Amino acid sequence: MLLVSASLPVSAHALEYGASSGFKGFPVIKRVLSERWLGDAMTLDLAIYLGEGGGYYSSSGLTSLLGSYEGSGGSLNSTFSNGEPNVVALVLWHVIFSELAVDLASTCTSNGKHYTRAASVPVRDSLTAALKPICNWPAASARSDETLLGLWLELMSFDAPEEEYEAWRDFFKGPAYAGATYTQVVSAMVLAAYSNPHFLLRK
Amino acid sequence: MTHQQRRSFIKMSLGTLGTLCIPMMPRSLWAAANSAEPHFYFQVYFSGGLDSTYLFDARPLALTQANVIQNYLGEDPQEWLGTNGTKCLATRLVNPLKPYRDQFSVLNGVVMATGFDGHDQNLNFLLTGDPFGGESFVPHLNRLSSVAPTPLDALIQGYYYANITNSGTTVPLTPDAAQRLTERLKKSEPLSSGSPLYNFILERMSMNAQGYGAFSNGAHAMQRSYSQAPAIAKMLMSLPQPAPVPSPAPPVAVDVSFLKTCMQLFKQGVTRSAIFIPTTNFDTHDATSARGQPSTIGQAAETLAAIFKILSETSFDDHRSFLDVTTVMAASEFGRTLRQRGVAIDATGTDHNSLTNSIIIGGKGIRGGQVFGETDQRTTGETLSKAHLRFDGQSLSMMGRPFDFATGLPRVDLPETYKPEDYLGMASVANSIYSLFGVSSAHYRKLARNGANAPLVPGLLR
Repeated sequence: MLLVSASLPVSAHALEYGASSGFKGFPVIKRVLSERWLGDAMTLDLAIYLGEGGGYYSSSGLTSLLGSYEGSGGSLNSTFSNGEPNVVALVLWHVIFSELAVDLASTCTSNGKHYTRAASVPVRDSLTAALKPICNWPAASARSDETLLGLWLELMSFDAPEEEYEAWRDFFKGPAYAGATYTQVVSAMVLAAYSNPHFLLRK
Repeated sequence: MTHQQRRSFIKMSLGTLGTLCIPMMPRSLWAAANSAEPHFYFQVYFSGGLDSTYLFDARPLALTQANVIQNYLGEDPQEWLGTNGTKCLATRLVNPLKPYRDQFSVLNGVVMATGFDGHDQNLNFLLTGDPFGGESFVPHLNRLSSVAPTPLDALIQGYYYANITNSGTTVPLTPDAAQRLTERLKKSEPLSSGSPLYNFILERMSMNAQGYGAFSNGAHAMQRSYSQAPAIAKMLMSLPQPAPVPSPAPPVAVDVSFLKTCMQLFKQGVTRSAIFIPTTNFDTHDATSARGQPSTIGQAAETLAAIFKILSETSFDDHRSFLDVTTVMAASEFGRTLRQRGVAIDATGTDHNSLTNSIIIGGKGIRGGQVFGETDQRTTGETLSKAHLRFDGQSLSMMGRPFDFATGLPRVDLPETYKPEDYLGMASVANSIYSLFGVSSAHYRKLARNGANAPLVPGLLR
């Protein structure tokens, strides 16, 4: 396998370090998903998926590589670090969202409340309800625009413009996942949504 | 403009102890992707202002007896002869480095940011050429060199504060964090380039990278990184299990497990450079910490010797060691004063001195065994230049002597005024490193605003 290194010439893109959106950062993503999946004042401990979490925090931990504020909270000396997109961060996000997707995909086999490994409280009823039709994948009802839009809004809210939803919808209605299992498609849907620049990057 | 874009301070934490075995690896992915010569960079930063008079810029005890300079080692130094005709005085603390003297050279009397004596300003100056900060030269060795860049510019372990605007892909990946990542990667869904999902995600990044603006640039950075992610994930999954931590654990100052992780990732083409910051702080304003310098600086020398040892004894390929393919530089942000005013010589600490710095540089591309530069204040009653006295009216510091860039030797004249072109400065050191890595002279540091490029250190490079 060849290493696909940065193949672009040294261009304006490469040199405009100060003119590039960085990641929102781990604390923001964690807060957004916590509110979106669990509700107010609840915490989705995403660090669990990296073998950390459970109250563990270290500035040498893996989550610190995803964009975070160093220094004590509220301190004037707090600074945002590790926010520029880089390959290690994307590998880490892939691990987190893959594991989160696995938890979400098990909705189809759970009766009643659905739990993830990252929280002691169940996910919102609205998210569970949006996932349930997908459990019939690849039936027509699971692939309907209404079902897909419902799930997209639960996952992404209005973080991304409509064309991103349309691209996501059309991809999953296409041949690539025509014969997939519901587990495969739910996992892929979560990964595809949360790997989108509109979700991970600051605007 | 975001806070991150205005100022980006890097503060990294120290990883835990650990050791990694470096098996002989087959033809690396790096080699497969780069037909150019491998070349890596390892920076050691001794934080706080290491007093070079305890290593390669020592002074005879007679100066201590004359109340000129503190010396808590209490021993006379020995001559250290450079093969280029320059010599210096070195204490016994350099003994661990003696086996490697042909692998590195010593630069004394490197003048830093003369108008600033703060830690931040001089570290900014060392890394960026500007006491207010900017782009560090370390990522430039990856992004602006003549070879294809690696996905990460550098790994870093340790703390420093600097205003670096191009630190985005300088990643604090400690050995134990790398190991945790390896374990998680093995358990999670693989990143498969070429799968429909992977291609779709990459396509969305690409679509959002069209156009101009910060968001598009960020999406472009994501796209570029994501295109490398499957290969990097595979490399990270192949990191071996670390060897058990020996008991008792070695002192933190000589922990080189980070170096071993770096060598793995150098060879796998993940990163070009690494920055290692030992935990010891060398800022010895008070007498207590100053008295501890024989121990702390001795450990620093041992750490450096351990780095040279490991690099030279670890094979990169069938016919080269890692030292053959890695340039190593060890430096602090500035030197120290001879003493403090009004304090007894045996009870004094020392203060910041940006008029001199000592740098040890070796490995690939460096002609070892040499000494460049010299500082003044070597004898009692020495006449100092007006250029020196302008910055140090009380003669509490030593300053780099003027430097002859034609011969590579220190000059004996006493300039009336300070002109950067008369002295060996950090700009020349940085440009020499740039030259080694094939960075275009268009990016070289200048002697002054709108001035000429600082000349390379003559004879330093092979």
